[in-house]
Amino acid sequence: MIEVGTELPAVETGPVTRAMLALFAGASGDHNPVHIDTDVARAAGFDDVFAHGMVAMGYLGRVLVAWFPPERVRSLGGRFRRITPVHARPPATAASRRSSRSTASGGRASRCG
Amino acid sequence: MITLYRSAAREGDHVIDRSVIGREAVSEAVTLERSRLRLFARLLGYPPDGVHRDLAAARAAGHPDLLVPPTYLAGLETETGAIYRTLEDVGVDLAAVLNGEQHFTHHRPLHAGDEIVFTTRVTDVYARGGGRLEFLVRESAVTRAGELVAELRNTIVVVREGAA
Repeated sequence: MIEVGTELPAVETGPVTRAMLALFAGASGDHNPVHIDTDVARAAGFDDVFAHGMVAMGYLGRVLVAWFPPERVRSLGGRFRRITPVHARPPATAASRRSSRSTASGGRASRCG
Repeated sequence: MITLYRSAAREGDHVIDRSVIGREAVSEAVTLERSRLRLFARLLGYPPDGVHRDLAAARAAGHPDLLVPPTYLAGLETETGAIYRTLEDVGVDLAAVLNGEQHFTHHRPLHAGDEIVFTTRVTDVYARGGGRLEFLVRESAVTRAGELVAELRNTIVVVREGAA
């Protein structure tokens, strides 16, 4: 049972490595080179490659399916606020802010490092 | 803030042509591959003995095959490329955009081996920050054998040259 204020257990994440990002590009289908090619990242104004947004949201997805029956997660979403750099272990935590028979919401994966 | 999109557009111009709103693209049928799903789940740290990585565990839990993680479909929709060709047509450099927002709605569980089709439409284009940031929203309906199984909504961010 989940109530307002319930904190879902955090999940182990990262560290985000270059090898992981290269494999994630192929596994996920997001081939944007800014995540896997340092030359492209620098040309775009970044210091280095950084994680796909769907890595951070992927961790949040894990928080949900670790708590709820995974086939019953009906909707999830988020806004990307900061990039997740290489070597980060972004903490993925969630707490319920609103709860009803049909919905429960709240969650955050924040930048680390 | 970082300059992501080197546009030659003048002040007041839009990088993204508004005529792209309403454009729709239908992907080829895509089969959800067990080995790719397993790698995706492994990279994100899903438990090795869980329904997303272990076939025996999935079947013991009543699934016909590995269960698809709830965040998997977004990258696959991007990879089908249908809508991205449309964006390139209107001058968006796809190596130079950021993911702004992503939402998933799941109507039916999906499993390895399922064949799905993405029907994606550009639903909005808008600017913020005095035109420095442009946002493009696209929505996808995901169908399996004609049945709606999931819906996606994504916002990409284009940052213009001269961003402070």
